Amino acid sequence: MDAINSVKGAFESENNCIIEVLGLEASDLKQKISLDSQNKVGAYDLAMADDPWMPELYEAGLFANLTELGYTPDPDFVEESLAIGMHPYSNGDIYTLPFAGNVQLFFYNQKIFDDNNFSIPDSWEGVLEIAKAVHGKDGKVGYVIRGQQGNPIVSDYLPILWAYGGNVFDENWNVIVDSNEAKEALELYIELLENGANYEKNDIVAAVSDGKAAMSLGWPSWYISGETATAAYAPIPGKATDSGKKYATGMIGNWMMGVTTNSANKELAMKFLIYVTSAEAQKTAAEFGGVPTRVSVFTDSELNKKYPYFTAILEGTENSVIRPRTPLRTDIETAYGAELSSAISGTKSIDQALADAKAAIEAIMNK
Amino acid sequence: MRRNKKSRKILRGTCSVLILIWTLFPVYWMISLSIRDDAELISSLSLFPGSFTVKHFAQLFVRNNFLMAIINSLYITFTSLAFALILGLICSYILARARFKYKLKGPVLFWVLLVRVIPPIAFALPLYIMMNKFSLLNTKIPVILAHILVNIPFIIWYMLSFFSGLPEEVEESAEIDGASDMQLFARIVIPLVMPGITAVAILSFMTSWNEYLYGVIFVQSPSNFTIPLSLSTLNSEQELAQWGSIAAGGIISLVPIALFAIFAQIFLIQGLSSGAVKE
Repeated sequence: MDAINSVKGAFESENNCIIEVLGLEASDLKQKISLDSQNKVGAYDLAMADDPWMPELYEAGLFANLTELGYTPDPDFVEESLAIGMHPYSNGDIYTLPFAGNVQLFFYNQKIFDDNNFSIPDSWEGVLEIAKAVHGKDGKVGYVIRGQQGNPIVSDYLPILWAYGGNVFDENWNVIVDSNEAKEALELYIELLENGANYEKNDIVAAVSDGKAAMSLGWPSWYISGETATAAYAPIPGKATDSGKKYATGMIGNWMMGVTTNSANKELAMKFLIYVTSAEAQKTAAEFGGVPTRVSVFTDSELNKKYPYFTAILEGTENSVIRPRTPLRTDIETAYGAELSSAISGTKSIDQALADAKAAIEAIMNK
Repeated sequence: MRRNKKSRKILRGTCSVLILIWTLFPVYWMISLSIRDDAELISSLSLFPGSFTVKHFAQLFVRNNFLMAIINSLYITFTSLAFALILGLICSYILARARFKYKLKGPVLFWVLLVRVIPPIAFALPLYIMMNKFSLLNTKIPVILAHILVNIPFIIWYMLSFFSGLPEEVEESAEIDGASDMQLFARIVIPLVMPGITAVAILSFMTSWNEYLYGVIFVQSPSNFTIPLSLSTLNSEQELAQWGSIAAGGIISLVPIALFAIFAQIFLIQGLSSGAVKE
């Protein structure tokens, strides 16, 4: 919200209009824009949406087709980010543009790594080794998982699953959450917990930035660090073992913005959308916590001096993975998260939890 | 015997202290969080603040337009409370005193209760569609109407026992003395149930002041944000929770409730003592 407010003034004076920004908590936002989409004339000209909501929102016809409104794709956007704005994914018309370039990254305490001469691990085996070396020494925590049911644990576990070569669905939409790769990944996840702790997001940032914990996974929007940062970001390890195959593991979670189908001011709204996602606006917004989505902004030398982790975000985005494109994602995440949570708490064995997760996801898909 | 009395006194004292700590600690903790600086808030927290700042209070007003949220909350709460009290008290008195044909009193009371016990979200969507049809969504009216809807059943049920408990002879005497129905209700009945009205007003005020669900569904513009809505934007999944500002907002939002409760207590005590002495 601060990022939009920081740039809207220039547009307002140039176009003689007033832009009112309604900031809401994510779930409230989704509820509100879905409700408003039922109205003939919408209350909102533009709406933001989290990337995993997109299949559901596109199918609901919430966003206007920007291609039909005359928009041509700008190659300066990171390709993986722009692909989310297309429906069908990556090859359809453009409906939304990437506003905030969130991608999941490896989040670590620089001082702990420097003091122990650790280098950034490129495998999960390496992460576990560091966690074991750090955990318990001077009360420090090796690795922090975000193991709360639902979205947190699923987002936290999927990059490890991907690094092991596993996934939620295969290319034919068969559920494969109980594959051998998934079992190995969950075993490692539990071992990480044994050499660490289970915190929620605010405590993760506090622990890693304060040097109480060595590593975790995080999102850039959680921790906008400056030059004096104690914690840092790096791309998520893409291999299970040092000698294993490297996979893309950074979960993309861009925030998209689009013109609503029932907007009464489509032309002006699209003009603002193009302006607010422009390189110039993104550079200004970066000073107010905005995470860019354009290559030229990520590679801007001045911004890079101030925000050295921009390189990690760009690299992470270019090697990112998109979550399953299904409108049933929320239900799947809830069911999957509950079973993963049972496994890490020891209520169910790994085999049982993953088999139950498979059955639950299949039931949702067959509804 | 004396020892028994003493130990009972100590036990009572200990329980009181524990309950007091249990009740007041969250308030203390909120105050203590609101005055700590950001660095302390993201490190391990001690029981007592290690830093002092009023930055979070200032930020709320400068960045989050919290003054507007306070004004909106006061406007919505007092307007809805006034309507809910007037309508609720009249309904409750009628239900307590009037004789209904076809034994309709029970079903009517049950119907009123249903409005209160059905999950609010069940009303939210039909109300949203209705408000939209009347083009009211860009105003504060939908939220005010929703708060009235929530509070009326509560007021009716809460006041029912107060009205039923009044001796009918008092009302009959007033009628014999020539009081009209309105005079009887306003001048005789209402003063006698003032403690009940005060208590239900405090509880309804709190419900309305803290209400979130209808607010988040009906409010379309930040200029209509209430305090709960404004505070919710400080804790999103995508960004870190701004604990200092949330705590500061919580402290500020406590003030009107506390003032209202203190003010209302005067009526509560007056009502309790009225009629206690035979003159």
